Amino acid sequence: MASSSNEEQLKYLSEAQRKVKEQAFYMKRAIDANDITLTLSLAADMLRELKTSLLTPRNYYELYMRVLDELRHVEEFFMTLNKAGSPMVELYERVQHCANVVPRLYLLIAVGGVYIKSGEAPAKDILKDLIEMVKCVQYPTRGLFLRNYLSQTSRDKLPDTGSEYEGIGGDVTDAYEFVLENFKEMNRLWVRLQHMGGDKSTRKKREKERQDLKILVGTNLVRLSQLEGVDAHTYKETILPNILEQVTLCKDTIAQGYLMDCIIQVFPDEFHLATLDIFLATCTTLKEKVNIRTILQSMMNRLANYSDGNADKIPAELDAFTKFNNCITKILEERSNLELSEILRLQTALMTFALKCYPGRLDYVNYCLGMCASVLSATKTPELDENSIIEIEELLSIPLSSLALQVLELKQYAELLTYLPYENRRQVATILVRSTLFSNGKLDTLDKLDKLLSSITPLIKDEEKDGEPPASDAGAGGASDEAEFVDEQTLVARVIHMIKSDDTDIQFKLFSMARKHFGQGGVKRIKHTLPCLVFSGLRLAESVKAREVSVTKFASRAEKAGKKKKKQEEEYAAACKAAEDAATEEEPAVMPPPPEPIVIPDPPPAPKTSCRKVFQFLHEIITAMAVSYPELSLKLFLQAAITADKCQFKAIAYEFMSQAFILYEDELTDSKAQLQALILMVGTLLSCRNFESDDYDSLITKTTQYAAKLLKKPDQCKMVTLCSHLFYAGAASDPNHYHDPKRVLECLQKALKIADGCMASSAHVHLFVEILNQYLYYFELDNPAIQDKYLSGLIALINEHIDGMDHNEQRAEVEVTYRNTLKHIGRKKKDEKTKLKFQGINTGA
Amino acid sequence: MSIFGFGTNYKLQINLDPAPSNVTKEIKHNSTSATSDSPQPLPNDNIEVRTVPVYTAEEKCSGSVSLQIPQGKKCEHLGLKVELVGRIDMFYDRGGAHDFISQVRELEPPSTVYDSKEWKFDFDFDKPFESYRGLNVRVRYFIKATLTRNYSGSLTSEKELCIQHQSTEPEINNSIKMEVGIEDCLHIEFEYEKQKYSLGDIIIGKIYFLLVRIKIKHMELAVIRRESCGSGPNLFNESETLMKFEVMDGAPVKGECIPVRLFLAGIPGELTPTYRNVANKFSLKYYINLVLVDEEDRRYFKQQEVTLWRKTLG
Repeated sequence: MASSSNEEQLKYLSEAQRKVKEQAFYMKRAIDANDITLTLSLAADMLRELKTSLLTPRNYYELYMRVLDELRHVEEFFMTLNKAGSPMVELYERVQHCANVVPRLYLLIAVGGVYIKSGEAPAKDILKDLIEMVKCVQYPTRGLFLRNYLSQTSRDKLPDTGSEYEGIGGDVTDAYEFVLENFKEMNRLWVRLQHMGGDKSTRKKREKERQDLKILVGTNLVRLSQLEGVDAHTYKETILPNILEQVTLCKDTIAQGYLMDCIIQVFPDEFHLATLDIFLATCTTLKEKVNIRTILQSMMNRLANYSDGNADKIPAELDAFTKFNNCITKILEERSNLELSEILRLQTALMTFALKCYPGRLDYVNYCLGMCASVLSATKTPELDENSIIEIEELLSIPLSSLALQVLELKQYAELLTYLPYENRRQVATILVRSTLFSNGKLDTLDKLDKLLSSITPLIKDEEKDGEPPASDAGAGGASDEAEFVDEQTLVARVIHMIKSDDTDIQFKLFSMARKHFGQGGVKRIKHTLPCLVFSGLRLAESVKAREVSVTKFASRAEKAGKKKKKQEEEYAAACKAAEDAATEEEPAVMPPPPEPIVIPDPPPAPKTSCRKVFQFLHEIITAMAVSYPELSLKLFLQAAITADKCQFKAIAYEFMSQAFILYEDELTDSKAQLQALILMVGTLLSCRNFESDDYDSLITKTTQYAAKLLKKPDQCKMVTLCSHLFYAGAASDPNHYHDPKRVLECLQKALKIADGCMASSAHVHLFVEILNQYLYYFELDNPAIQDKYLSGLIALINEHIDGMDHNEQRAEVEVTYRNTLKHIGRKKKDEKTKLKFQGINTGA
Repeated sequence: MSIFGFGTNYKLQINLDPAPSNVTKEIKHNSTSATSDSPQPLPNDNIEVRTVPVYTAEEKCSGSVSLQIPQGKKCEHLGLKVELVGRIDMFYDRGGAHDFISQVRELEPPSTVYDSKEWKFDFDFDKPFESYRGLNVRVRYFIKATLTRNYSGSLTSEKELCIQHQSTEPEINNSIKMEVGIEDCLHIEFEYEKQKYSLGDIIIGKIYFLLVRIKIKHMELAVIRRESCGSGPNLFNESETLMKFEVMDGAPVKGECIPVRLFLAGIPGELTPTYRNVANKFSLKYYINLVLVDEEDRRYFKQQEVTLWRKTLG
């Protein structure tokens, strides 16, 4: 055996290659001289280099390739001889005179190939002879390479169906028998390599060498799969049984694993389907160290890919799932020392297979999960190893992509989840939510929602550790953790959008349930989850309102219909009476035909949950957040106010507004936040049009006061200006409009005063221009308090100050705005319609 | 041409008719031993290749002896005879020759010949042995014409013949089958298709490995020729390995069956049939030796005699 250092190896190799080159040189000269005897003897000399036992398989391969390159010349020479008319049988005998077995057989194969090609003898006979003779090399490495050469040479000369050698040359039976025989022998040689000399210490090395050589054995299976004439029947009856027999007989771990995998990879899916039984039967007989899981897994993957979600492609009567399952069960029975993670992996593979091949069969999936659950409950060790945990996570994540919400119907799913540590459950939960979202799942029953929310508990609340209360602000890690956390919570929030019930009552119940779950999430989570719930709640409120309105409308319609019916009945009764009265003895009474009955339809069901109740629910939620997130809550209150206003709940709207104001006063201290909040408040007030006049009054007065109390003067100025709009809300045509021209003027004047005080920061010109625009706005709206003299005065003021400004960007900006404003006034002055009104404004130009 | 320094003008020559089979054979000759009377072992110089006709045992060999006399001369002689000699030359021991055939034909009584002349002759009797050139012994056939003269010495001429015995397919030709082994070490069974082979035959066989506990490196077949001369205390055995033919590389496992196919035609050198007993002087036997060599270069072998026979001349 080769057991030398790398350097020695290279030395041996280069020396052998040098000799090959030299012999080949003379050999080619002999070929040119058409000297058969000399050519054969030199070719034999060259081939003798392949007798070496010094090289590792890898290096032997190098040498082999080199020799084969040169051997092509000999093959060509034989071809030439044949074309020139020399019968191949003579040459075939002649090369066998060579006294050394290795060169003799290489030459024999080389001639044999040409012999078959010449058609001078049936291909099958020559192949049979060759396959018999190559037995003479029993040394594993040399035998494997020699047989590889045979396999290569014979590749295009097999009497396969449709091949030119079919017929006299034999048929596909001869072809596959030849390849099978070669496979058998090569496998045996390859296995024998394992047992060649050396002790345990060299085992690793031997195994590596064997791995290097395995492709030589596998090539035979590829050849078999390439035979045109082999159909599923032949494969089932002859080819596979033969291969499997070898697999079983060789009792070799490496070979069994490799060959089973090869079978799966090289033969077509239809063949696998036809032979699943025998294949699986062999699986259970494999050596214990063979990784049976990867074999079954790749077979299942192969079939699953073949079926590709199309259950028809795998015949139902085949019942592949049961077959795989039986096989796995048997293996689990027989291999008691299988690691837990491996068992789980097997089940995962089986489940994946079921999901892909039998998309509708939830029972299969449930069964696999159940198997895992029972295995897990049977394990005595409380702590799972890392691999098993990963495996369970995988197991639980896989069905999600295809089943999404349906997993909640699987009984075992939730049970299995409990085996996972918090972190992994969290991962699974994330995938669950994601796939549910992706599948556009609809959460329309309490049961579904409850199951889902229970399954994703790790996302909803922190881990509850025994003996210690859940930390309220846990989950805050580094920056990336934080980002991940936000992502997760956003996902959870999106669950809200999947809650979709046509019945507002159920919808409300669903929201209440979600609220209950989210409420446990702690301060950090509600920031992400509750706002979403609030917005959905608002939408719900609107639909409840719509429902209530329709009920009311219906009631009034029904009332009218009732009245109409009554009247009709009375009229009919009267008509009947009249007819009876008019009747005489001779003429019996003729009854008038009864009128068409008026049907009063059943009233639509009134919502059990009133709109008011929904708002109450929302109020609670927002209030709950108010302490931790005042700004956010303020915004939500404002939003709620708008919706309440839309629904005509004046008092509720006022309540929401006032809550927002309280938050503003109590919690908002940051001036920037205050400014932002104020802008929103103004906007909200402007969009709410249903307040009682008194309520509105107090709200806008309060707002304006807030504005005047802002810290920064320019902010004050801007906000007061903005607040002026509160006093001039709605167009004159709007019945709910609120116009207080004097107050508008007061606001603007106050703003001017403040702006004037901003001289120091030189922002005043800018503010002046802004205020001018506001004046202009109200002036155009025909606000009676705004007179042209104010405009003229303001323009004069601006003109005065603008020259004093430093030349910078700020000034340029102001100038542009100002110029545009003046241009606008100029245009108005020229317009026939507005000419008169704008005449009085002195632009100072 | 004359072999003597004088009388160059008189030429005695043997002309053989073509052999019935018309087969000839090239024989390497040492020119220094051109005559029958110099039975010394042949050194390998001055090798001359001669073509000789091949006869079977029964075939008549005929021809003529011609005497060429120069113009105007005459030849007085004491008689012309032609003889056919079958001779066994022994090179071993002290050597010696044994003529097992010596047939003489008187072609011309003592007289005077005035003109060139030709005399026909033929020999028609069985030639019991094949021509053979071995290590210690050889069998030769030659025809010698002698014109005895009184004073100027005799004129002679010699022609070698090649005799080959052609046989027919043996009626009984059993296979050789044998189980051999070393207990708990190696157990094999070998089988050769037949025991008797013609010279151009193929030895076909199989070797079954029933038990293999030694690390076999390779296996070969050796073809051995054994020439035994003399008898009793003067027995000389000379074995010659004609060819070593590797039949297996590496170590087989139990149950393996290795095919054997050896073309006798591929053996370098010349094969002859087996000679059981040649005039009680010598015998020639062939053996095939199956040799297994283990990794420590120990050799395990079993030798089997095979009988060779000649199917065709040549």
